[in-house]
Amino acid sequence: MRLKLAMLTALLLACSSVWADEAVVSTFQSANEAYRHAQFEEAFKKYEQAAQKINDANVYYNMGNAAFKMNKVGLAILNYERARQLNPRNRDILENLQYVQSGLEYKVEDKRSWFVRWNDQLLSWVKLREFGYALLVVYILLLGRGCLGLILKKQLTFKSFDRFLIICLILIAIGMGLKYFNQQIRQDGVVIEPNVKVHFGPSDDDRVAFRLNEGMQVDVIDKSNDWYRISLVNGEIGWVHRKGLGLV
Amino acid sequence: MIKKICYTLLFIISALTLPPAGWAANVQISASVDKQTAYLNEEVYLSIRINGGKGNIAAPQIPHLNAFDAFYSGRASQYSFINGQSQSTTEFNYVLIPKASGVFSVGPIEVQIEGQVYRTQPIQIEVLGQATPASAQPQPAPAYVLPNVPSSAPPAAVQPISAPTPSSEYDPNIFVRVQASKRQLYSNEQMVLTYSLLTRYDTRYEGFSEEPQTSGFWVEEFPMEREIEKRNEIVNGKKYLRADVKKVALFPTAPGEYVIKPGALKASVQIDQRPNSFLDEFFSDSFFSNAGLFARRVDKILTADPITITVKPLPEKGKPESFSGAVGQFKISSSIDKRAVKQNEPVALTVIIEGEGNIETLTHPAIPVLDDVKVYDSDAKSEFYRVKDLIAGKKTFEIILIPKSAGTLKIPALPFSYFNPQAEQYVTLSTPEYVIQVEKSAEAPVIPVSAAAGLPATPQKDVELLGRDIRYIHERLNLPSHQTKSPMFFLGAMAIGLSGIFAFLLWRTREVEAWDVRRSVMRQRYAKRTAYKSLHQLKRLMKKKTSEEHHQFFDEAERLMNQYLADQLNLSPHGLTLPVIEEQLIHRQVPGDMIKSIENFYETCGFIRYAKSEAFMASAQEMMGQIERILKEKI
Repeated sequence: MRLKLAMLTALLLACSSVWADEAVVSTFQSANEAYRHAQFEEAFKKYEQAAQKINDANVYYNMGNAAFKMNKVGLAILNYERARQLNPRNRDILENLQYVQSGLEYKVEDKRSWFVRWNDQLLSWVKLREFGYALLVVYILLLGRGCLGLILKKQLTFKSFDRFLIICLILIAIGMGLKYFNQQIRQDGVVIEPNVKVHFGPSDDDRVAFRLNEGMQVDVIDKSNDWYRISLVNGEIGWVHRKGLGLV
Repeated sequence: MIKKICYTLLFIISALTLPPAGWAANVQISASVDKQTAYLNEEVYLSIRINGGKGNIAAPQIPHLNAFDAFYSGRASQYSFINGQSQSTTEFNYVLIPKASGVFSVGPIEVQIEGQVYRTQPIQIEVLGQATPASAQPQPAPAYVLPNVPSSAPPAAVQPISAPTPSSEYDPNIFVRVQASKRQLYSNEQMVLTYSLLTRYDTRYEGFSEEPQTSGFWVEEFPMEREIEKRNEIVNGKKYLRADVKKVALFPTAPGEYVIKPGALKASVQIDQRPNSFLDEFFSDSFFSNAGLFARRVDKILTADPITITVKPLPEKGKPESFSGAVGQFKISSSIDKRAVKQNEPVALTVIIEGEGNIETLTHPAIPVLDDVKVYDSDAKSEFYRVKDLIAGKKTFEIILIPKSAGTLKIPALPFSYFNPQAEQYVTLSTPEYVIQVEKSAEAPVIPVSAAAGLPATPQKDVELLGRDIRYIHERLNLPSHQTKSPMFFLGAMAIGLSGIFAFLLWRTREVEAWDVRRSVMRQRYAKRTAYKSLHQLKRLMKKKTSEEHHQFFDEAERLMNQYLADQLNLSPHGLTLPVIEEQLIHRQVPGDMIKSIENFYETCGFIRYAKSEAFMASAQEMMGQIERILKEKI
C-alpha cells in the first residue's frame, strides 16, 4: 500500500514537472513570436516570465536581444551576462555582448593586475559544473590506474602519466576552488538606468563621487538596505541605489 | 750680423706690406649698359668696372633715378699678376627697370677709392613705351613664361598666383608661390600643384618643414629633374630668382569643395649682401658666393595661402557601361603571345593603357565570363613619366587565359572608357578581338606560377560586411531531458563504483600482506618447538642398528635443520641451499661462528651419507650435539 502511494507521488511529481516545462515552452515561443513581429516590449515581458520558471541561457539571450531592440543597453548587457554565466562559450552570446558593449559611450580602464584579469577571463570561460566534470574524470582515471596497479601487483611504468594526472587533479581543484570562491564572494552588476549617481555613502545625502552610464559593469562588493557598494575595474568605489543596478 | 738680419727682415716685410709702385696710379673706371634702348619694365643691366684700385672698394651708390628702379645684383672681381704687374678688376652689377618712357641719363656715378672720388661718364638710355605686360628677358636661361600652365588646359584656366603670406617674419625678398594648374576640375582629373621659391638672396632650399595637407586627393609625386632649373622673374618691379622646387599631381577622389593647405618650405638664406670688411668682400665675391664660407645664414620658413579647389562630379549623361573612373586622355593597346595552343595551356593577353591621368588606379577592361576558360590576373605594372607639365604613365596588365576544352577560343573586344575633361565627354576604346585555336591535349591543367600568385579574375572576393547588428534570438530552449541523465550522474556513479572497487582491492591487498606477516611470525615462533619434536624422533633413530636406518638418521637430521632454518627465515624448505641460507643469515647479522657451525653440520651430513657405518655412532652423537647447539642459539 505504502509502496503504491510512493509510486503515485513520484508519477505526479514527474508529470507536474513536464507540465511546467510545457508552460514555459509555450511562454517562450509566444515571446519569440512577439519578437518576430517586432513587439519587443511584449517579448521582453514574456521572456521575463519564462526566466522566472526556468534558468536557461537562451531565455536570457533572447531577453538581451529584446532589451537591445528596445534601446535599453543596460538591460541587454545584464541579460547577456546572465546568459553567459549559464553558457559561457556560446558565440552568439559573446558576439552580441561585445557588440552592445562596443556601442557604449564610456569605458572604464582596467587597472587590475594582469593576474586578476587573466584569472577573471579564464574563469568566466568555464562553468563550475564543468570544473566538476573535469575533476571527476581525472579522479576516475586515477582510481582506474590505482585499481590496475593493485590487481596486477606490479610496479607499472606509468610514472609520467601518474604525475600528469596528479598535476591535472591539483590544477582543476584549484580552478574549481577559485571559481567557487568567485561565485560566493563576487557579484557582478550592470547599470540599467541611463545615468546613475554613485555616492560616497549609502544614502542620497552623501556626496556624489562619480556618475555611471547605462550598460557599465561593476562589481558589487557589499549591500546595505537599498544600496549596493560597488567597485569599478579602475579601483573606484562607491554606493549605488539598487534601482539603478541589475545583478547578474 | 744681427743687424744685417734685422735689415733684411725689415726689407722683406716692407716689400710685402707696401703696395707695388704701379698700383696706386692708373685707376680706370667705366660704366656700361647692355642696351641703350629698352621698353618699360624691361631690365637693363648696368655694370661699373674698376680697373686698378686697391683695398676695400665699397659698392658705388647709384644716384637717385626718377625713371628707374635700381637694384644691386652683386660684384665680380678678378686679379691677375703678369710680368710682376698686378692687375685687379672689379665689376659692380646693377639692374635698372625703367618706369617711364623717354630718354634718360644715368650718372655720373661716383666711386670712392682710397679716399679719392672717381666719376663715370653719364649713360643715355632711351625707354620706349609699353611693349609686353610682364617683360621677359632671357638671362641667362630661356624666356620666362609666367604661370606653369599645362599646355592642354585652356588659357582661362590660368590662375592668379597665391601671393606671399604676410607674416611676422615676412620678408619681401623671399617668398614661396604655390600654383594650382586648375581650380575647377572633374573628379579624378589631374591637377598639378607647383611650388616655386622666389628669392633675391643667395638661397639654399632645404625641403618641406610641414607637409602639404591634401585630403580628398590621390597624390602622385612629380618626377623632378635632379638639377632645379632657375629663372629670373620680375614681381612687383623687383627681380627675383625663381626655382620650381616641387610639383605634385593631384587627383580628387570625390566631388565637392576642397581646401589644400600647401604646407611650409624651409630655405636657408645668406642675408648679408654688402660686406663691410675686405675679408668678407673677398669671400663673398661671385667666385665664392655659393660656398658661403663666412656668410651668415638664416633659416626661413615659407608658407603660402590655402587654395580652394572645386571638384565637379562626372556627368551622368552618356556614361558608358565600361566606364570605371578613368579621367584624362588615354590610349589602349593589346597583344597576345600565342594564336594556337593546346588544351590546358596558358595564353597571355597583355593590355597596355597609356596616357595622362591617374595611372595607379586604372583597372583593366572587364573580361566577360568565357565558357570553359579559366582566367587569371597575373601581373600589373605601372610606369610614370612627364609629358610637358602633366604626369603621365603606362599601366601594363597581363591576363592569363587557360582554355579547358579544344576548339576555337574567342577573346572578345574588351571596351575601355574614360572621361576626357577637355572635350567634356566620354570616350570608349576597345582592344581587338582575338581568335585562338585550341588543340586537344590529354595533359592535366596547369596553373601558371605567375598567375597562381595572383588572384583569379573570376570573382572570388572576400565576403563584405555591409553593416553590423546583434545576432538573432535562439528559438529553442535547452530543456533538461527527463530520459537521459546528466553526465554528472554517470561520472558520479562511475567514481563511486570505482572508489568501492579500489577500496576493496586495497583492503584485500593489505589483508594478504598482513596474513603473510602473521604466518612468518608464527613460523618463527613455532620453529624451535617443531625442531625439538623432530629431535626426539631423531634420537629414536640413532638407536637403530642397520646402516639403512643410519642413513635415515642423517636424512632426518638434514630435513630437521632445513625445516628449522626455513621457518626461522620465512622461506620454503624445499630447494633450500646452503648459499641461500648463508646469505639470509648474514643479512640477519647472525654471528660468524654460528654460520660456521651450520656449514659444518651440512658438510657432516653430506660426508656421512657416503661413509662406512663404523664411523656412524661417533658422528651421530656429535651431530646431535651440534643440532642442539644450533637450536639453542638465537637466529
